[in-house]
Amino acid sequence: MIERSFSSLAWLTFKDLSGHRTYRLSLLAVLLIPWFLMVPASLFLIDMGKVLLDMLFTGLHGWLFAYIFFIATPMIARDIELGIANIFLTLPMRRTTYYGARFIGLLGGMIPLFTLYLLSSLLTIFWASHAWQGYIPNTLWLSGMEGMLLICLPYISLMGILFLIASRATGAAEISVFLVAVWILCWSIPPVLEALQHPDVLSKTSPWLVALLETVHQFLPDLTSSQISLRLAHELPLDIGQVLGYCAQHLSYTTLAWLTGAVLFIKRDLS
Amino acid sequence: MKMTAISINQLKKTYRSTVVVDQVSFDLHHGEALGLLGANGAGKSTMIKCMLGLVMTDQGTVKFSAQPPAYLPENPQLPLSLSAMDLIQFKCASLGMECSHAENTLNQLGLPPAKHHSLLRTYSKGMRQRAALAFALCGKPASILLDEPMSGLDALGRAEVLTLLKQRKQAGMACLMCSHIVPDMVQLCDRILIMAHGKACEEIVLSEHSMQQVALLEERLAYWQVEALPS
Repeated sequence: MIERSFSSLAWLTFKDLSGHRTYRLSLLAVLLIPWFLMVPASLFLIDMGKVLLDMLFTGLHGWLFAYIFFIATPMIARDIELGIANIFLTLPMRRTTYYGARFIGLLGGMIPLFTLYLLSSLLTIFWASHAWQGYIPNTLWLSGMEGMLLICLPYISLMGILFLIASRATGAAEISVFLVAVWILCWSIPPVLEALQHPDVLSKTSPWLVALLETVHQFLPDLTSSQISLRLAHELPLDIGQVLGYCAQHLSYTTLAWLTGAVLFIKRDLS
Repeated sequence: MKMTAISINQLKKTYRSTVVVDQVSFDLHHGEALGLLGANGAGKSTMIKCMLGLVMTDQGTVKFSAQPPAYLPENPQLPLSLSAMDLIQFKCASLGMECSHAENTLNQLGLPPAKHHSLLRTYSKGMRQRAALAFALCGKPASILLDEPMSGLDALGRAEVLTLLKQRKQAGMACLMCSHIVPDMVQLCDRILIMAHGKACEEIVLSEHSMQQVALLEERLAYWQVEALPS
């Protein structure tokens, strides 16, 4: 019974997503983005491979961000704010089943977008390597594929955070404000901490502020995946230990955020 | 003797210091319709949500004889990118039931077959209300909780909904209907529980469905609005 309602709701979530105009437009957009990125990349002929890969990674960050903020957030906010969750929960369905099925359904919605973006990016790389022979390394497609798979992980963590916030939030405004705040912190703290490595900067910063930033950083996932992107764009091999640590960090972060959210969601009142 | 479908005992819900549902108890039997009548803010909707577990209760017990009841919320909001048939097929799949009668329920509620597979965003407010009721009724539930089921429906729609609910009631379904529209309640319900300020004030058994009963209920409702004020 639980498995049946879980898979049914996960599938219904995917079906609901695919009925949204925004989602269908996103499917078209992810097909076209890599080809548009060829235009600015071709201006850097000597570094073309590196710039193209960097842009493809940035494009991936861009649409994954858009998916979570403009497709997943409104859907989960609508469920709570308008009471759509109630019609599922009174089937009857366990709250954890609803919470898990929605999570899996929304993650599942990323798969067609990711597959199309990956295929379109690989085609772009192959086309560019024939059009500008010698400027695009032969193994660029492999680095691209590897990087794109790894860049998806932080967004699974962000989805976990979205569900954690939604488990206590009352509506779209609350969810959006907290999610944007987390996202901004995740992207802004690492460069600040990097700057604090410099003795001059460190000496002019109060120790409590450094401690506060470091503490907050410990609680947030690394959304930038900058080190991995940088190494792959420069065709440098990835350290397997670093990759495993990165995967473990995001998977455990997602699990923890989801579990905490599920516990909070079970205990809340739904209007 | 009729079997008890839903049994509520000393149900209480408080939001901060405000008592919203104050130790309400009642039984509802199979094949019976009970109306919860009360002004806005009387605690009717909160009590239904407490019964369904959507809102956590502070005190009291809720017992169902068979499976938990179906639910039609007030102003039901449905995912607009899906069709009525998508929702019904989802419910049948979740409960592991045949949904061969689903088309029939949709037709009975006045939703034309051409609309069964249309997206809900193309429905009018009344049609969405009917789709939500069809969703609640599919799977032949043993009991149903209806929160203002007639809101958004025209005269014909109300008549169709009432006919369908009466048929299901005769087939043994227990109905708990909450509303502040007295004539609709008199047509369907066997008993009326008047609620005011969170309390169940008075139970009235309806012997006949007449205008005198409507007048009596409206008079009692006005009386308890003043009498049940918290001291």
